[in-house]
Amino acid sequence: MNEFIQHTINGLALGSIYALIALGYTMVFGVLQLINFAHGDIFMVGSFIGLYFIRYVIPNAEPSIFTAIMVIVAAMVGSAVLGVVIEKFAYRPLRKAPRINILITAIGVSLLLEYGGQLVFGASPQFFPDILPRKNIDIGADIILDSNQLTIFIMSFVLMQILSFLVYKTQFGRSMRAISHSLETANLIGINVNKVILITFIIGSALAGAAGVLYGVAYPKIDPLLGLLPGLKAFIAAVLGGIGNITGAVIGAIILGLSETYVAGYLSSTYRDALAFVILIVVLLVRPGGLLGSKKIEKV
Amino acid sequence: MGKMNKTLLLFLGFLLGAVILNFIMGGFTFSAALLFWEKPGRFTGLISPYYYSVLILLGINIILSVSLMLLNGLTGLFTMGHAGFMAIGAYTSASVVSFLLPDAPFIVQLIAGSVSAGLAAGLIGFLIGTSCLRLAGDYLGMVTLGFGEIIRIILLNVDAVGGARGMTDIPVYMNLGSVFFLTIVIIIVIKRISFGRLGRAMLAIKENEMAANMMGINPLNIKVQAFVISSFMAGIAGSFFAHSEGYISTQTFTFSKSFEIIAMNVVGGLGSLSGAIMGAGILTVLPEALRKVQDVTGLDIRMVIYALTMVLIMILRPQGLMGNKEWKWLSSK
Repeated sequence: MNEFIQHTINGLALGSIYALIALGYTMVFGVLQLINFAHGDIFMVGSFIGLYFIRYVIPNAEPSIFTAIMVIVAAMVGSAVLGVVIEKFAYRPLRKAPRINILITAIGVSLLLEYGGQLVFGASPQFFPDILPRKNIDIGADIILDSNQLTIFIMSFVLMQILSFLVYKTQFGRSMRAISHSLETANLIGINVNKVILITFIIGSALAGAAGVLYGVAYPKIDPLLGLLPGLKAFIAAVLGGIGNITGAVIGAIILGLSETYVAGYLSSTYRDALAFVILIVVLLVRPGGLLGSKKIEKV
Repeated sequence: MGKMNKTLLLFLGFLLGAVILNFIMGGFTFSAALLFWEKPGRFTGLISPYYYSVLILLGINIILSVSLMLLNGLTGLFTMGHAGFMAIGAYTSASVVSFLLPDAPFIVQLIAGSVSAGLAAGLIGFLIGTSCLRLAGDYLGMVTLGFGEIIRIILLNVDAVGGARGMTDIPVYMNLGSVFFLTIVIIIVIKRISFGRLGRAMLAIKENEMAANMMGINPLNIKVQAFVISSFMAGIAGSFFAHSEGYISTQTFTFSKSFEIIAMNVVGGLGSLSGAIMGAGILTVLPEALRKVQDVTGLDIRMVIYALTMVLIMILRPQGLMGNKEWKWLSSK
């Protein structure tokens, strides 16, 4: 039982990182119907921006909650800029092109960031320094709550609250939701589609950047190919929850994080990566809209 | 001259070409007349082993690209798991040849390896095809991506085929001549399919499934056929790969490989057979050609240029280099 609770805590921490990445996937898919494969790599770049920020901008900072917030904000800003550049130069010229072209472009951008990352950051893994005072909180009965895990929960929770405020309570959010219903109609009623798409990319990329830093905190070894698998899994989480659905992305991510930890803990860690794909296939064959998605199946 | 005769002539021409090519590039150890009966021995050819292996890789990539063209370009089924079929082919063929027929004559190994690889991949293609044809568009892509990765992870956990270490000591029997010849054979088969009744039915489904259905085409049937043929060919490509490298590991068959094959299609022009060949050519040769750049700059920028080329082609020429056109020798007339 104790073991189960311990796995649950670890799974929730992993799930909340997936959730932050999945939100970006699901938002971009909502407005553009694009699987933004480069998103996982924006997450990776965010992680590295965090690392270089600590190393060169605030080299003498003590690990504290203030340092952590500074690093996260820096990573969010850097990733958002990267998201804007990608949107403007790679995706915008293709707005009217067939969807497969945009998808290939996304894959191309993803490769560009990975190999460019190897060029700029170096191919070997680097150590992500502690940005938070590390404490193991023993909450009784042999269950240990890592203070970093607690931070990851809280940070993710705060960011998701900000996001849900933006999407459901502001004019921008209303426009974004209108675009995800129908881009043409939104355009007709006077919504500046390009601007909203740009802001969507900014928000999505900023969340990925924050996730990058939190990932570095939890698993302090980062390399330029880091974004590949978490990116794909976050995408699966978004599909599981119902792609285009923001609450769904969070629920999907938490389910995925938990089930991965359980499989690694109780069965075998080599099959951990296969689990996400099994979930993907089962969901798409049984309920293609995802858990919270609409039941509308795409007709040919 | 009848159409069949022309094709036959083309066939013989390429066989002769393969013999000559093998002779020039492989030298006397790949004895010209014994193209299919002699295993490649010590390398004494006119070109370096490096170029030799790049050319073999080119042939394999062309097979992968044209086989995916049948699914993606012709039938309009967007799949992202082609590397999985290739993996099944490679592992099946490698196991059959090295466990069952290690000492058999070369030609027996070639036939047994390729056929078993094709059948195994085709069978899995059939199962995947029938189970996910309800899905369309991106969803089909995601499911096939998932299947491709699951196949890879399962292979990674099978200890009999080496697991994470990969499979070593696979009999090497493919040489440049045989790869070249069989690549041409497969291109011609796909050409015959795509300009034949089946290919036209596939195209009709891509353009408008409902209209195709009204005209008496059974879309599900045709789609499954497309899946099976395509995965069969990918399996054969995997078999060639295993028996020209002599070593396979699951690292080769990740989803990046599937993306690479899709990129070949799209760069060349989706739906064009010539484009699929051209795309395979460009995306195979470009990273190798850029090694020279690396020597000059001292930095590994070739993959960056490769990725950048992919993005630029998509932005500047979204229909791909060939568009819908075909080279003359591959066109329907």
